[in-house]
Amino acid sequence: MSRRATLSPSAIVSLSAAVVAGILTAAPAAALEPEGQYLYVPNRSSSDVAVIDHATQRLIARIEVGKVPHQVAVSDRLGKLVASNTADNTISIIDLATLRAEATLTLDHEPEHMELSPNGLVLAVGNIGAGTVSLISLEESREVARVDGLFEPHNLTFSADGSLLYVANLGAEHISVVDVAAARVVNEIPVAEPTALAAKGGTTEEYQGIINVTRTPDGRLGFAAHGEGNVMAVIDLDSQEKIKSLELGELPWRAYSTADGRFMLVPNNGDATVSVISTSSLEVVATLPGAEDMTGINTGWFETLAFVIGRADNKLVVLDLVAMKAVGEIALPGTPETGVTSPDGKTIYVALSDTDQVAVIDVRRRELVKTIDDVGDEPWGAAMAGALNYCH
Amino acid sequence: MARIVRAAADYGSVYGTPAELPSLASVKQACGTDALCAAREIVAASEGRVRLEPVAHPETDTIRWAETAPSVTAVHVGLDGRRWIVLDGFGRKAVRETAEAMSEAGADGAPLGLDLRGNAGGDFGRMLKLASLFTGNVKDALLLIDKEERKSVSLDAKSDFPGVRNMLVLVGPGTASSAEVLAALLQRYIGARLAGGRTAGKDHLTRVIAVDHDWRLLVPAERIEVPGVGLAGGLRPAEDVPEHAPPEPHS
Repeated sequence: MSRRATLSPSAIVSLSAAVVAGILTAAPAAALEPEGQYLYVPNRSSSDVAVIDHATQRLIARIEVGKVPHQVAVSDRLGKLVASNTADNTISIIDLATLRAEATLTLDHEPEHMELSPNGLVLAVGNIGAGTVSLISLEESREVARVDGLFEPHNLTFSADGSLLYVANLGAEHISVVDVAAARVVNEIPVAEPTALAAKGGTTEEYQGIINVTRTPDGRLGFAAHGEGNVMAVIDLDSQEKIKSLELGELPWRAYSTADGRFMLVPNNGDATVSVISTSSLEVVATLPGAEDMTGINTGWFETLAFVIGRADNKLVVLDLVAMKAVGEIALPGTPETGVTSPDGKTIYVALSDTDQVAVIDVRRRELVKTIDDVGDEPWGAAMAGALNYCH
Repeated sequence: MARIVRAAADYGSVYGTPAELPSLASVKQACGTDALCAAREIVAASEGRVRLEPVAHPETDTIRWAETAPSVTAVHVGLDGRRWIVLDGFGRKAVRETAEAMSEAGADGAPLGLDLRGNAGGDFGRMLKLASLFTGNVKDALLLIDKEERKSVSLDAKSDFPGVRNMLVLVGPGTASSAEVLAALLQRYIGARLAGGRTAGKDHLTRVIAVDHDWRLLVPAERIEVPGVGLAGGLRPAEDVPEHAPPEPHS
């Protein structure tokens, strides 16, 4: 547990009330169609979020948010968009009906990754610099609790019923389980052995523990890679027990699920490979070529294809998940960050940070078909409602 | 809290640490649920052998890139034709860097040298992978010994260069821990000759236990034994550093 004082819920209510500024920011450029599908792109340097119409693939608005937005989350149910503003320790809550910020909440140090509860009402935000997680009521646009006792909380994953939150600790070898209603850590699930060091003195080298707990769509299993341990733990989420440990390549990042839940794909950044894990046999069924500095994997076209984002070489590596082999590469005009597959599985959008573009990939044709230009400065990711969204 | 106390007891009751680390009940009584307080109780009871150190928080924009100082800091060609790889650590890319250096250095079949004089050790698992680059597969290559068991560890090679011969390894007082074990493994399994000075003599693992967001415990754990090689008290090379070796590192 951290030595930082834990705020009581009532104290947080007071604090939140004080900081909910209700700041109205940029004027909307266009209203969103109720039935429309939109892409939301956080721009780190211009501190805004681009809104792109999926149907026309045109930029329709840029909404001002706080400094260095890292990720966005969309609650379709409430019609709200949230940006985590890492540099000013806030989140911006945007009303999608007006494209205006309806609230700015000050959280803990470095709010970065966010996860929406399955019902779209609660947002969990990892304050990675403080070792805490904020629980936000999106209906009320306020922080209702702050959970401490975490270790560089990276990505967050709700249980299928939303009652539990699994926190991937970048700074440790275990997953923390948070009871959402009680707002406290109720269990720690070990993923790997404590690091074995044989060194004079300690080490100041950065440590990569757990990046994410990736849930199967049925909510039964969680897959958590441990970077330094080169292993993947398979967790039974009902019993909260590790049921298997799989050896991966070097420095695995995190698991990306195919939308049908059949496979987990894990980029191993230490040896530029991708491990493919069957969620039925719980075995590594293939190790395929990847790329240098992989930031994510998107799948599509009836989940037969995977597109591995290679940041170092500005490319996507295309993997055929039926033949289990690499079948090509797609060159990109800028540095890819992360992307999103449209809910129909036909299009992938990838943010290109150094050219201020979004690349549009036709999944079936395996081609770059278009770039959407001038989306803002340093686009960092992309999200859509109803999609498998992820961040760095 | 319980995780920290149990881990310290599991790992810390082995080697170099007094057996009487505090019980969970006594720590709970003293500290309530304060994990950092519990860690301090453990450190105090260990008479300083268990250490508490601050966490170096990562730059999360760059952690995936595996930012790390180079482990292979130089590749020299000696006047006698020996190719020297200077390995100063076991950073994240140590195995890859060493394999590349071996490709470069040994492409023409010249004898290899490994300079570990400036290597104070590091990640043990990475060292084992790196050792297997030179040795190939070795079953039961070393033992990890704690109070209750002796666990054999094998070297599993994923190497294009197994069975390197006629190798010379430079060691000295700056060679410690994982680097000493690496030198011992090379001596034992591929007949590498050791040259230089006596090494630091740190022959046990340290387990890293996360305490909270900002602190971690370093707990002395299993003793390392390479069969037939005396690690305790340091390795004692039989040869002096040859004339054409790389320059001695500044420490």
